[in-house]
Amino acid sequence: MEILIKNGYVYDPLNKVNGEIMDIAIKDGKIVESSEINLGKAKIIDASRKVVMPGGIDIHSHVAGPKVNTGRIMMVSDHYRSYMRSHHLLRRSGTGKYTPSTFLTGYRYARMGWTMVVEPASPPLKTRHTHEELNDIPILDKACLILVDSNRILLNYLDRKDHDGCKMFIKWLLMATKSYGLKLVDPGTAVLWSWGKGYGLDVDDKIEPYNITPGDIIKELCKIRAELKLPHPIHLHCNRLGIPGNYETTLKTMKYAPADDKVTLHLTHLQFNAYAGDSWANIGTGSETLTKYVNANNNLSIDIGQIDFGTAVTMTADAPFEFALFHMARWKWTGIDVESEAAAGIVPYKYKKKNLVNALQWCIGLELALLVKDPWRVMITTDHPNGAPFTRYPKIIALLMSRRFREKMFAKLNRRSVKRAVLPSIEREYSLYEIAVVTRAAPARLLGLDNIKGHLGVGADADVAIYDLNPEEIDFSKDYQSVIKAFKRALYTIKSGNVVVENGKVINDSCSKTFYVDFKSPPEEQFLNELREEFKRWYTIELANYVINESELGHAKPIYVGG
Amino acid sequence: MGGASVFLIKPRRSFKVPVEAECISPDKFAGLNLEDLKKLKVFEGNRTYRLEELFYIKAVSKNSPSASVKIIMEGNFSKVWRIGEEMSTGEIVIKGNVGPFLGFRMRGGVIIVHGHAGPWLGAEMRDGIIEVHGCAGDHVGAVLRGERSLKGMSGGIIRVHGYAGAEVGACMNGGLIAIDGSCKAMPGVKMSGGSILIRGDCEGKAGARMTGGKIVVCGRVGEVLPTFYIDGIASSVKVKGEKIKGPFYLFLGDVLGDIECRGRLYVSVKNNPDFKVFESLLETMSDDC
Repeated sequence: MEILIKNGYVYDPLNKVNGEIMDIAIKDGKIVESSEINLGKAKIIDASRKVVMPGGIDIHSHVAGPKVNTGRIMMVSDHYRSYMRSHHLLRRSGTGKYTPSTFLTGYRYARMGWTMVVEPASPPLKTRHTHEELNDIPILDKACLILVDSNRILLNYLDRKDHDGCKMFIKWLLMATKSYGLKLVDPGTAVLWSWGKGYGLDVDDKIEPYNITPGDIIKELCKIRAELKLPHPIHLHCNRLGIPGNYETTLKTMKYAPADDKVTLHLTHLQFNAYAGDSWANIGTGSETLTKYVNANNNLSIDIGQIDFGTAVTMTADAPFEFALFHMARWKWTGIDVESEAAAGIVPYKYKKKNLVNALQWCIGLELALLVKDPWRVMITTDHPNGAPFTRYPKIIALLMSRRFREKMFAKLNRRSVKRAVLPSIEREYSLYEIAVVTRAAPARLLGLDNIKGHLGVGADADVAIYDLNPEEIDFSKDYQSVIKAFKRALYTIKSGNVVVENGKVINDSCSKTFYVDFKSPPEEQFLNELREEFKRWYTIELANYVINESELGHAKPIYVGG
Repeated sequence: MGGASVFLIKPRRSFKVPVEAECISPDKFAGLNLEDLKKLKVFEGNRTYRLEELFYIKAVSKNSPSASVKIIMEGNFSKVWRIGEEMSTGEIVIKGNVGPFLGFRMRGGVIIVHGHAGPWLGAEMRDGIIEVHGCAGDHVGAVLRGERSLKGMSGGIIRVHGYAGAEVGACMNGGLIAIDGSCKAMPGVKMSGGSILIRGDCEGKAGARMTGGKIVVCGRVGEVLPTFYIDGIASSVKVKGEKIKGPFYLFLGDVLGDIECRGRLYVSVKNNPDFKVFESLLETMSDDC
């Protein structure tokens, strides 16, 4: 299918195109020169007075896996209140607002003009389930990161200071689970949680019974990631999440990132790790200190993990924190233990505007996004469904683009929290170009997919979003409502050269790939024999049953890396 | 009802799969003429139909569209769900059996059933009156699964002249549920306000985790949970202005729900001879004081 998008204002940061009027030509799922397509046959989309951007990429969104599924089971009330009916031959039905079903996840992302999502925390043992669900998410390209921080076999290698064994195991694990990168969640807590401990484990504390600290794990895995040449840096959820005063821990953690010009450590949903003070009563913002450090060091990137007011379902592999949160929220709680690999907790939570802590959380998230000077190292996320469902991105984009909107919100918030926040004094407003960076180009670059994703240059995948927004006429600062409206429903979303959304309606639900890293050289037979013995000791299943075949992925797309 | 526009609805055939007919409600009918009414959407299983494809609709008395609406339904509606959902005015009279979720989240008006009602009758009701001359299913006036307990029934009256199922008035905050017959286990589970009157027997576990409100059981109660304290014997009890003659054992609880034990459970003395044991507890208590 050939498509020509004519006369749109194109925002393509990876090719340094800032709002120029251009034509974009698409042929066979790729972007090509305009001269290459047959104008007689091509579908022509008139995008004059509209914004054309690459498809959005969400770097951190819990959309699939056993944890998400348990969240769905817990939020029964969510699933009879919000639903989408099926449309014969066009789309499937689905339910859920805060924890939507797989099909709905795909449709809702596509309606906003997003075309790729990364599931950031899949326990390796249950990654088969994650892939099953990812296969069922239509339209979007996917990838998943595996949890490795509390894997007993890995910790044993680390404890013995066996660097090569560690590297081999990580390599095998990535190949066996067909995943894209490594995620660390509160390194070490899941081990301690087996004994009911682990709440508030600091980055320099020892992980009993091992002779290592979370800092050692971060340092070692950063090294292994560099040696294996993995495209995505270590994806880190810092220690002591959600505890007042945790910004000091975060600052210490940042110093573990190996020095480099490129990003070596990605700190995810930093908002939950940027609190000053020492109790819930005198909680303050630590965003200034943290962003100062991020601005000075090129090897760090963050995503904000913004909250929005209303119900959310917090789900994280940081099980002790979830247990503490349950005692605050007093509604429902599920605790999960994944053999010798990870733990997780799920607690539905309601963020309230008049609550001191919640209102401050809201401010801190925006502060982080606005105080980091380089938009290439900050990304918009809500840590869906922890802070808010991903459908609130248009609102967050508008908040970043309009100071007036932020000031309007201050009037509704808890007054004490606004006084403690830095946000009221920040004047910066994102431009549309910077929005294109933080939602498209920066995540693509961070995933190491910037040759095919997140831009509109020749040879890129034809993932395009067209929004009904005229940057020449609209002053985004004043007319923030039109920004929300435009981003809520894309005029067109094109995925791999097919029009999937037209006028905000999903009209096609095919074509999606799952990215994973693969290595040219398989692990040695001797190592596998050792591992088989280890498996007998630590796991309930045989090694052969653990490995996920390529045929189990819907449309597998391996990315070959060295090492 | 003088001046009301009256509609008569009959099913065209018997239904095998559930029919979701939330559009059968005086609020949705108000302001529409007969032709528009017939085009309202209903689901039978996974298929969409117009209302007239499944039901005969007749306007019995024509009035100005702004007049209040009365809907008379004749026939077997036991597969039809969600009739009168979120209705706030008008009247529905059903001459026959009716399916689940009748008067779901109702905010006003009157529903009268001359037959049996399904489960979830008047679930999450806010205000209004529901009267069932037959029996009702489980979860009368209850909160839906997984909801916060604050969302439970908060006002209005449900009267069932026959029997009712389990979990009557779960998470109820206000209003009255009166059952003339017996009910199954766990009436008033997690309730925090309002009154439940059961003139017949109850299977047991009345008021589990209740933190407020009043449950009156005039028949046999099966068992009282061990987390309830006996407080005394009341000669009569008032339920929404109606005086019910006793005597009743008064239990306070549930200590598992709230340590202050603000829930009250009245159990008939006459019909529960095994509960004589509790009277001895009362005597020792008065001796201590």
